[in-house]
Amino acid sequence: MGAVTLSGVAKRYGGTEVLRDINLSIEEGEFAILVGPSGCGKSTLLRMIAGLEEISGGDISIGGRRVNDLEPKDRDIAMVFQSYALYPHMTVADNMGFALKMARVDAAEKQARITRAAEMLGLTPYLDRYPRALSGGQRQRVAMGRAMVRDPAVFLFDEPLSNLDAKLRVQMRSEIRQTQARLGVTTVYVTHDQIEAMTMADRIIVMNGGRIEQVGTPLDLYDRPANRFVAEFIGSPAMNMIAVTDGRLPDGTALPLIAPAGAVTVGLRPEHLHPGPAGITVQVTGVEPTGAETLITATLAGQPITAALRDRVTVRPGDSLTLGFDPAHLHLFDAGSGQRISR
Amino acid sequence: MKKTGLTRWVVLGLLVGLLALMLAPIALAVINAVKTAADYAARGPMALPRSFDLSGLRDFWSHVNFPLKLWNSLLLSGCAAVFGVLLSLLNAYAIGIGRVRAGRGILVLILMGIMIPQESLVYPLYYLTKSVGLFDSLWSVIIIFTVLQAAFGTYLLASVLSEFPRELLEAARVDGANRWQILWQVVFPILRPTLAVLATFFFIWTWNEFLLPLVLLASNDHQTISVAMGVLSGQYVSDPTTTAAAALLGILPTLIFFLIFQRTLTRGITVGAVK
Repeated sequence: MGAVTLSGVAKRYGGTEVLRDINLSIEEGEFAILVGPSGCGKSTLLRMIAGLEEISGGDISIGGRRVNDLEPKDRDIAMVFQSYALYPHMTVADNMGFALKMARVDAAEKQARITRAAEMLGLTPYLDRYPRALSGGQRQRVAMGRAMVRDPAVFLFDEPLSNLDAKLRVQMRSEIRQTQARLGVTTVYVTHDQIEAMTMADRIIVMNGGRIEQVGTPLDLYDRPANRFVAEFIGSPAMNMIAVTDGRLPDGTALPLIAPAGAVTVGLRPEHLHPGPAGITVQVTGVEPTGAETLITATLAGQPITAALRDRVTVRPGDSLTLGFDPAHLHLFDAGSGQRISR
Repeated sequence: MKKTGLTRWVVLGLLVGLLALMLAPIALAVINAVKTAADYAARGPMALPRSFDLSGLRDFWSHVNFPLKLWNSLLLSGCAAVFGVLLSLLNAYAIGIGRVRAGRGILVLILMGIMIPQESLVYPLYYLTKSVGLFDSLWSVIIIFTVLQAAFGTYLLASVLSEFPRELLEAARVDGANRWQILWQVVFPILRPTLAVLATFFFIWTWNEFLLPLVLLASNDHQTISVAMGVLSGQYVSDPTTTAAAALLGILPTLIFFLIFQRTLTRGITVGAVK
């Protein structure tokens, strides 16, 4: 009942096309995350699913029903906004019950649903409070509760954690994930934070410039990025990109890599580098120990390169360092198109 | 920047001076309202009273049928305040949130209603009320002031509402509220403090209106306090102590009203200001 299907969806503002030919199907009960840099169109896409933005082309269907021309309230969705959008003049209970009041659900049923959601979210002691008397995390939960009481086919989240501090964000991340898993409701979640996407999603949809770059499970995207954009977007610190021509660096140094002839970009994740007797020799420019690992910034024939080392190393800026890697961890991209070259 | 002791005293002095300037007319009214006519004639308006006589107040009270005028003024100002705010809210909701086509143009048109001097409106309004049979009825002025006040109200509220958090409106839409429900269940409660300020202003402004009520409310029974005060002095007659008493009685209700809504009004000064 809660599958979301987008076919050929487009969005134009006047002559500007912000989304083009979006095809996507989100299965029932799936936790799908739209991720991408600001301005990539992910929020617009979510708002189009919600019915808050008109659709310029294509079809959106929810639960097998075409919803293009339906009002948000008729789409069987619930949305959690970035600012939470709690009604400031209503108590927590009234906030959660507003949609039910509008739908003329009878009082006993309404009360039961609010009580159940409040218990699930640990909001029972706060039901009579106003939003201004709640902490950020509690407000977030109320916004969740407001979506839950409606028992919708689809949850839509628009960067719901971006107003929280780092610690609370990690906590709410798992709370949202657990709640969604318990309810089994199809969820479309927008974020620009790739860590949020990696840790929460069943499937990630990476967007850029109004297009979908790649759709896949978090580890799919990490292990087999379809192009340079996804490779650099997923993973932190970002993947190193080294320009190589005919197996040589721009300064002519031969690389011990298995690279095809011609110009390619070699991708290598910082965590896949380790100090070794054989490999690439880099000039260290910075050392950032974080305790668990040491982040080395360096240059390789003038190109910046980052290594995240598990072992403690005693190097200082200016030193040379030889880093080894497993060739299986290399990613090759076409230097022109940036598309992945399969090996 | 920390102010020096001297600057503080200068500022205090200036403020006290301004306060005295504001209070002077009221003081003058009080002084002269309680004088006998003879005392006034002998020593002029600026002298402190040597006599104490409330007949000026009594005369005015009975002469103009003050309770009736008070009721008329209250009815007029109250209705204009409530209806004016209502009309402003509906207009502004359409322009500020509904984003109706040519909203800006409509706003400019409405603003012209404020800019046109009332004196030039008197003549057309006189004939208009005559032709629709509302001449000499309180309803004519209630309708006219509702519209005039709503012009300013629409202008103010439209800018307040254009800053209204979009996500709240969208949340309400997703929650299943239609436009009417969004207005009354989300926008109205949140805007209530602003609307209270607007209503208070409308009340006081309408209370002080003189020209239009004077022209449109011909019969004695329909006149308001400000008109009653005005008609006290004829071409050849003038009774300064009664006039002073009238002034005192005339401003008293607004003064009481102001004291009750003082907090609302001071909050109103910041309405529309950038946060």
